[in-house]
Amino acid sequence: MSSRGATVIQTNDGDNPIAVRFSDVTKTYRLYKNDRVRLLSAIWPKTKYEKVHANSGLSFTINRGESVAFLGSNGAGKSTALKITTGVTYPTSGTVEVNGRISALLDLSAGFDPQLTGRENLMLRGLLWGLNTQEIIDLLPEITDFANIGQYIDQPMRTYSSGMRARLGFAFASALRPEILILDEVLAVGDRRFSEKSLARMKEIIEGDNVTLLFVTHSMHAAEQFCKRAIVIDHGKLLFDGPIAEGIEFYTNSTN
Amino acid sequence: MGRTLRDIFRDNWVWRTQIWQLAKTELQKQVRGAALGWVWLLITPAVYVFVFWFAISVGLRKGDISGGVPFIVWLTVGLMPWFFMQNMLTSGSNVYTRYTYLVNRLRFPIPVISSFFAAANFLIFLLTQIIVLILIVLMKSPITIYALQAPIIAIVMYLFWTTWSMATSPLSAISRDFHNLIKAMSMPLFWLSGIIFNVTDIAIPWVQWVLAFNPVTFFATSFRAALCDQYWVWDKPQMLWPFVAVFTLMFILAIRVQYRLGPEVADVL
Repeated sequence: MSSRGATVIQTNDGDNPIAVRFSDVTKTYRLYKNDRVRLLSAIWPKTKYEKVHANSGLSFTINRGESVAFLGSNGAGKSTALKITTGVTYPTSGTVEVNGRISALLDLSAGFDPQLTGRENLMLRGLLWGLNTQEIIDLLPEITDFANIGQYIDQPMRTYSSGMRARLGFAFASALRPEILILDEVLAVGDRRFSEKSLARMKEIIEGDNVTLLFVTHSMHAAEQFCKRAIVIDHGKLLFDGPIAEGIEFYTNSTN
Repeated sequence: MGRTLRDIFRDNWVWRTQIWQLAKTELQKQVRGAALGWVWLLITPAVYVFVFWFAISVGLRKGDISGGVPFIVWLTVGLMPWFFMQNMLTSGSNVYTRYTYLVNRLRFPIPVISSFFAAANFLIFLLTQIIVLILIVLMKSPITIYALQAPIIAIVMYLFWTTWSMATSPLSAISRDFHNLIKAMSMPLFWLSGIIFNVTDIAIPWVQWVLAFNPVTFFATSFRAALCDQYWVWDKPQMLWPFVAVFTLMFILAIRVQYRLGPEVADVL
């Protein structure tokens, strides 16, 4: 789908040596003074607004099987880049190419419907991912075991704690065996035991298959453990792209 | 815009199994938590029908506008589609706020949200048609060849209000004022339609003509043409053509809004 100046190419070709490619990608958010001005803009295209570049001329290529850590301060544009990769938001200009099936965990709510139970949510998410009912039923024990939420699986998700939601979200996203796995700071919550379990699962995923990992984290330890490459973003611009150790050094120095 | 049009058709085809599943889930959500569950979907319309029957037939003693068929049948046939249309007018014009997680957490084509939301409410409409059938049989109201139009009118009604939802939901997501405006319009669209009176009985021709542009009028009158008044919808072109014009405009608006605002919806929710 194209959005005026931008091109988004999305294929399910998991054998393509290129997993994700950004070419000069810019994402501009429009900030209006208030809701009245926003309404006016829908009628009158020349309405004034402030532009915020969440991503500005971002270019990088991530090859199949690579694990890349995105480092940067809050609001640097890391999450926007991951959202564009996932396909939930469109770039304002530039070209984005994504090859392979994506499973993304973009935030702690993990895209679950709060009214539905954990089980119903998993069934629904499985269907949206393209599995059939039997395939989901086969996956369920693995997911619920890993998330370790016990009988809460049949309770509405609005009753879940944020840790439980994140656990179920991670268990689901990682159980799908995606070709591209996108994780946005989801390991920050959950208790220590779960963190360790998730880290072990991630290690297994990365080592085992030809999975490409895009990983936003503020934990340098986790970044170092999983990723061979780091991309440092600040104010929407790419400042560094290279080996993880140098990336961490670069980022730590730039924030001090 | 041609591309947007093609995408909408393709996505609705590609995601058809999920549309069905999501519609069922939406229904589950609507009936959940009440011991009587499904029954409530019928009780609310039944109460409405009773209240209108009482006010018009007993109170105002105007129950003779139905031209041959029993007044209660005439009323129910016109009123049942309204519950579907009312839901589409208010909730259907704001589906992205209802399904935020499909818009900005998962990769999901947003026009399809309108399709399954309308499908869920359409299933409720079909359920209410059971009441209509029971009434027709009980009151010994005749069923003729014209009844064959009813399923087609129902499908057109589904398509029109799905298009409506695709056209208005992005605007509602961007501006709450717009959604409030639509909610405020829901009441006049009901009273200025042919649901509780016969539009063709109005003595002033230009008023008839104006009311014919209200899609609610078209569906209420057409269901009655099929099940009560016994004529083909094209026999009254003064009612048909204004609706065709409104549908065409709504279709163009939907494509245009999806093209211009579709990509922005995820950013404003």
